[in-house]
Amino acid sequence: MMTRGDRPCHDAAQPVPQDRPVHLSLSEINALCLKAARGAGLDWGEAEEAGWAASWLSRAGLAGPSITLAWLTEAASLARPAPAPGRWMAAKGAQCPLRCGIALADFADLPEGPGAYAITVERVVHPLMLLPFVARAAVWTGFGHEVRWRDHDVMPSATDLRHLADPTADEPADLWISRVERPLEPDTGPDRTPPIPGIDWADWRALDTLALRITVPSSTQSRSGAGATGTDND
Amino acid sequence: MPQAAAFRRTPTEVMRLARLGCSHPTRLSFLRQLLRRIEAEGWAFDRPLWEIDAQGVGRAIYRMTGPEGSLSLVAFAHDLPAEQRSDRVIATAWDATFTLYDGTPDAADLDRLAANVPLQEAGRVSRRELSLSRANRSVRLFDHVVAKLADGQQPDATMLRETGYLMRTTAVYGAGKFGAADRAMIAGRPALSAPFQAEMLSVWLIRAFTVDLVEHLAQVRGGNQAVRLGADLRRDLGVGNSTGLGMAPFLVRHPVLLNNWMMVREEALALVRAREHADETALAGFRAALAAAVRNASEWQSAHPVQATKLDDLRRGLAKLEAHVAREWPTEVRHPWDGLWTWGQTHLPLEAQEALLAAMLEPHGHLVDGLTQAMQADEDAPFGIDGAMRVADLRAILRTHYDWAIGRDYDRPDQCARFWYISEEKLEPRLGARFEEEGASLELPLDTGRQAAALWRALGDEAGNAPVARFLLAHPEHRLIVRRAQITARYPFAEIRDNLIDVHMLPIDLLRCKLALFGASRFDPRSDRWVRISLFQGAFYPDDMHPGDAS
Repeated sequence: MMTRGDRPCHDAAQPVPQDRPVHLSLSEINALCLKAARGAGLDWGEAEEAGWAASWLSRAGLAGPSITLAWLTEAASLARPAPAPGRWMAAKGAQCPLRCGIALADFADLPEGPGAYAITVERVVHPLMLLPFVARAAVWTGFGHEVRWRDHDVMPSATDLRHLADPTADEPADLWISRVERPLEPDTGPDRTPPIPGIDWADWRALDTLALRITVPSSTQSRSGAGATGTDND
Repeated sequence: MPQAAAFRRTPTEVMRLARLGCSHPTRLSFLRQLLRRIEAEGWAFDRPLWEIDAQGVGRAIYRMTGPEGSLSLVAFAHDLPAEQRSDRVIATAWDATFTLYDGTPDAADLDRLAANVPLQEAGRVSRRELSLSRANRSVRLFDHVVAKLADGQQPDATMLRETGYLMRTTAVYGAGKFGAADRAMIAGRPALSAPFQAEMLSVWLIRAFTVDLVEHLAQVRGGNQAVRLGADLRRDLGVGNSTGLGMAPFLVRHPVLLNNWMMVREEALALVRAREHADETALAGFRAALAAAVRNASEWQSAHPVQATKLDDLRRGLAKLEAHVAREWPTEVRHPWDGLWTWGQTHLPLEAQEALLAAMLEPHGHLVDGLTQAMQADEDAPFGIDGAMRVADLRAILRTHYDWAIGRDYDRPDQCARFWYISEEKLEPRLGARFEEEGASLELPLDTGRQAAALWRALGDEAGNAPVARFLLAHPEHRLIVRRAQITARYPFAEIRDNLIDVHMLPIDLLRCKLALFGASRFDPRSDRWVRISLFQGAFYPDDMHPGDAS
């Protein structure tokens, strides 16, 4: 109740020393990354997906906000996907992981998605960002989905994925995604998920700066209209 | 419950701002759910720490222990100069600050909390904390009560009744705010699974703290002469809340939750209307609830012109209803409750219709209380978009659920006069005048009607059998409203069916709806976007539970 709405932790994390990680709750991570994505120029619906994905990755023990930031810094130059049965080609350069992920979930029940046949999504940067959407496609279709890239082979669900946090995780990769005829593993629930990793202060600051782009400076008119008329010393 | 189907109201009728802005608290409200659970499970209360000095400064702990363990309100009382007292979110100091701790805090926890909780937004709490809040004194009443009790007298009952509380909270944050535990961490615990239970518990314990504080200060001042607050006066005190636009967008951003809250209330009403007969116990309970509503309406004050008119509607409507119930309402016929409800639709203003709803639910706890289990929501699962849906089906959803939106001309200045945005200063939602203020390019997507109309136009160029996934690939700008539309098709009470950027839109209608769901009474707007309310007035205290109080 009386919640003030989701907000980036601008005020809140100010006292956090710069040499220490910033610890945010999942809802703060979602709100911060949503606003940062919107501040970076994404449409609201896509920005919502970015916030959700960052929160999902953090819940799995990965550095959701840092992955989001790394993607956002080059998002404008990344290609949108062209879903087609079997292979999503990267004809115009490296592909955007958020938009590939969104399309993957949206097309989960369509011939272009990983249904009866596996698909390959070519040259996706920051491939970890695709995992939340593969997990969503799995929930949506009721089947587990397997993702392979480089030497990784995972069935994403919101469990512990910390072993995927390697230094080359951001580099472009071809992803092979296949539906497996196995029922979904049940979600382990919040009690058994790994701790939410702290965020590097500089990454938090950069995301916060992007988030602040969607705010409006106060004016005398906006201040006067926002509160009560009269005193609070009554 | 097929017998109730014929008695359900439609979302088209219910989800209009004019009606939502007449919402009254009911027995399904979140604070009533909390009190019922505390009483049914016999939670134990104690106050393991009270270190408040003669100036009213210090710290205290209020602990409730139930079957799942303990929850402790940690209170910090401050010495606040009058010039710093502001209910606005821009304030940086308060008379008291609080957090709800999951368990019993040790000395290290208390030190950590003492360094952060008084700072509120500028501090950080941890996953062990479930809420963060603050309160300011209702100065005139607070001082009066302390002075009288110190003198060995009881305070003026009229003054107490008029204000209704000693302190008012100015924010109660929960669900992951400022580092607190995420909702997902506690949603599986029965005591906290219903919406806003941690926040409600915090406010209920704050109410006890406010009374303890005035009695403590009276004792310091009056010594042996001082008396405690009389039981009846104490019980009539609630805890106030002062709130602004910040909470308004919540209802728009949580469509599935809104649906579940409204659907449960509507199902409860339908179940009562579907009753074949009215038994004597229910009739007596209803008459008592109606009499209480009349009393409440007579004591409910507001100087705001909109609310004053509505209060007038309410009082006249309730008087008419009382007369009808006493002299004309046939209770021996089949479906008597439905008969009463139908009469009310024709003869009562919206304010009194919604008050009638609350009174009709009141004596039917055995029938409706169980429905509240459906008020929480998994918001994650419905977040995904059904990309395989055909464009023709999406159009049909818009025709069915957004007919109020798609025919409007949003280029007309009166239809798009407002815009919602986040203030840079405090990161708070605010409402601007599009043609008078800067910032419309940074508008928040609360213009749901306008977005639906834009989607409707864009879909006009698409083949009916094309999948929505293909449409969104080319038009990502419509993703947000496609998601909302698909949610609304499955959760029909998810969308407020009014233009939220209209020149005549009243933000206080959104606030009234949400606050009534909490269980707030005495809705008192201080402007068209800022209100005071009271919570827990008339409820029992942690240290005086009696069987039947929370029924």
